[in-house]
Amino acid sequence: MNVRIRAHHYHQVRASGRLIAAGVAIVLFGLIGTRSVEYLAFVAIALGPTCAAALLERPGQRAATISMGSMTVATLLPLVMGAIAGGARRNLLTSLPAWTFVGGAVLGGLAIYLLLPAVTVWIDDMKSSKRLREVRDRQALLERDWGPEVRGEQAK
Amino acid sequence: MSTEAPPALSKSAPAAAGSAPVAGAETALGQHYVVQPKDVLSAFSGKAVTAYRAFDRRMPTDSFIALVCSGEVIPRLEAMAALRGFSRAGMLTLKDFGPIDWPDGKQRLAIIYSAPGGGRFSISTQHRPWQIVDALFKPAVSALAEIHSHGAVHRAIRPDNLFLRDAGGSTLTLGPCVATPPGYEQPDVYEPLDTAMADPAGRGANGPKHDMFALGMTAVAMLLGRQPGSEYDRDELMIRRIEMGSLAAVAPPHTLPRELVDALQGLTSDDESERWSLADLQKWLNAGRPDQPRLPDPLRMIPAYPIGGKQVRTARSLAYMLGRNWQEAVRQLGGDALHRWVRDHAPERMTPALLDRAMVDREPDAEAADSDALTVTRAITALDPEGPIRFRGVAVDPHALGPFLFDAAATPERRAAASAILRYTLPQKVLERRVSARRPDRRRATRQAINYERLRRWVLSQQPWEGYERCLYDLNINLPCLSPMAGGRWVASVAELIRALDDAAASGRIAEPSIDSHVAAFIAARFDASGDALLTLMKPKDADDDATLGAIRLFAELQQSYGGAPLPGIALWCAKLARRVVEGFHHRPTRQLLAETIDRAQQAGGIAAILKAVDAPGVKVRDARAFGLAKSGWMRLQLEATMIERNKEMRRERAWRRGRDNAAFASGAGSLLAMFITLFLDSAK
Repeated sequence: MNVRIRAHHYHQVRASGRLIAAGVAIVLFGLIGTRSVEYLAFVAIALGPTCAAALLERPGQRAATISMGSMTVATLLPLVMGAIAGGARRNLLTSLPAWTFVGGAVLGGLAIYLLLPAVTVWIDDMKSSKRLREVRDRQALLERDWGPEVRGEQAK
Repeated sequence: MSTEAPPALSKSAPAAAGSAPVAGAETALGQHYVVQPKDVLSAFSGKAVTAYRAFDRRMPTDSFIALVCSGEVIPRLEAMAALRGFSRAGMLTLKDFGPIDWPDGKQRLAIIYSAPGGGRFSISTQHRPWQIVDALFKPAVSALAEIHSHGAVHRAIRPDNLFLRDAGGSTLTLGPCVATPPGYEQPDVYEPLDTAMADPAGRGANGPKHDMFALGMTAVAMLLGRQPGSEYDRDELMIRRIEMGSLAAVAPPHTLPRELVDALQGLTSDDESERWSLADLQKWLNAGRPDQPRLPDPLRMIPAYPIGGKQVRTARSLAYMLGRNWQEAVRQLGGDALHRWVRDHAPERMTPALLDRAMVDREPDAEAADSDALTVTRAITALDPEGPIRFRGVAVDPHALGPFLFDAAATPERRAAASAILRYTLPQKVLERRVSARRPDRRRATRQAINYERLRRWVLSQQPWEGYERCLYDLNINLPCLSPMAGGRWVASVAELIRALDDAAASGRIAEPSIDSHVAAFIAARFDASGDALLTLMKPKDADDDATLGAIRLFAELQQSYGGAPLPGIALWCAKLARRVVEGFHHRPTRQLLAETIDRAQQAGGIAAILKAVDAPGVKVRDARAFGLAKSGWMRLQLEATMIERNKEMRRERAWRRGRDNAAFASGAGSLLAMFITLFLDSAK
């Protein structure tokens, strides 16, 4: 019963989160659109890989979406805000540096998504090997002090 | 008076010998006496001793005899100690005694006597009464007074153990008496009836009156000019002595000189209570008239009972012959004739009832093979309660078990009989029957019964430190250790045994720590050693740690008790034992530490240090407890290692998933970085 209540509560929170995110995105897109449609298109195109990742990933496991999305958004924000602050004169759609930043952000997000598990596995392997070595060393120490009999049945 | 050729005792010993070191062919006793093993004096030699010329370094011109014991019988060390240094007319002075190194590499007990001036006396002619008084009685009284005053008895007075005090003189002197058990070399006729019936080694010291009997019979021999009773065989003579009285059996009183007959009757009385004492003889020599013993009752004309080819007429002589022919006795006791004869003709009034009771009595724990022999023994005791124990053809006085056990040990049949005598507490049973042994001292009787019961327990015991050997050492307090481990040395005390064992161990002759049953029994009898410790030393490989520590502790105590001198040989043994204990420790560094301590203690010859190293209280328990913890710790680590190895894939998968899940968080930090980079680079254009 408790488990069911907890799952229900989790789905409610997730739904609320999505609504808030969607609301924030609409507000942001609305604000950007009021200044420049080009900028809105730039943002929409820049978020394309993120949307593609969101479509490819299963709900609840959208690590790639989050990684790429957060990196893309973090890159878009200074570009778009800077352009708007500069009087919306800058054409971001044709700006190579802007797309370079966006591409870098997308690749960075993708890299985080792809490399972090491998790095985590590598670190975990290192820690396990170290622990195993420590265990074997301590066993060897015990055998040195107490003889092979310390292994008990295994000594035979 | 005639003598054998005087021993070639030269008064001119090598002048330089007094200060010269002992030559290769000589051996020394103490600081002063030198024995010459190549110079045998056959005139002084006996059945179990050989006499050699000896001299005193301080007085090279004086002659001495060294009686060297063969080891076949137990010498009387307590008598030696009592008589050493005392000199009186009529006795040879015992100058010194002790073990000497013999040319065969072993040690033998040597007794140094001053040499008599003349040779050995022999009875080739008849002697006059006055000669006997002057040459024998007077010096013998003086000598016996001295001997008896020291609580000792001579027990070897016989014609061939008399010597002429001076060359060419006629005064006799009593010969050596301490090299063999009491009465051992005495022909039966010189022994009173009760001990004459016993085997030579089983006669016992008894009392001064046994010396008086021998003196009287020696006088008879001198009067007759021959061995008394030599015309009879042994059994015939004994039967005559029992039935007629000892004196009448060998010399009818009417044939004896009137001036001596009273003394001879007094001295050779078969009733010890009536036999003359030394004071009586002195009184007689001073023209007094001591009480005369009752003359034996004249033998009634009764039908003789035939047994063993002899005719007996009294219950006592029947008992004697039953003892001498015990297998025939079994048959005769099983029939009616013997019982009928005892009932109808035996002069002793109570005997038939006692015999009937003896026939129905049973030993509750007797083996079937001993049943008949025990019946014969009971019958003999009923017929002759004052006689020795007679069992399976051996005869021993209840108080002479020590030398008898030693003598019997050489022959398996006699050893078995001797063991059975102890097993069935026959000494106690014989003493209970004796009228002469019934004394009001209940405490002493109880102690005696306890002692015999203890002997019975020991002889039945399967424990290696008990058994026959333990009885042997307990009954013979001066018996040296007979173990081959003693290396032929005269080892009379535990201290000497320890030194002998130390030498044996140090020389590598006995590499492994081990003792045999003789050493175990010797230590048990002379030192209050624990049985487990002795068993460990006998079977060290079977011993547990506690017993092994007990064995080391025993040696440590012995070392401390006897001065604490270093014992490198025994330390080597104890180190081996200690290492076995140390091997039982689990903790290797502790083992190493203890092994080093043991090595150091072994090199110093300190057994206590070895013991201290391995006998720390609680160490073993702590080691076991710590080992248990170490074992469980090792197992825990092993489990952890196995888990690490076995769950590798699962762990990696988890790590992968964790990394992927963490990508969102990591991208947060990346986002911040990306924002700043963009802001910085973009604004820079």
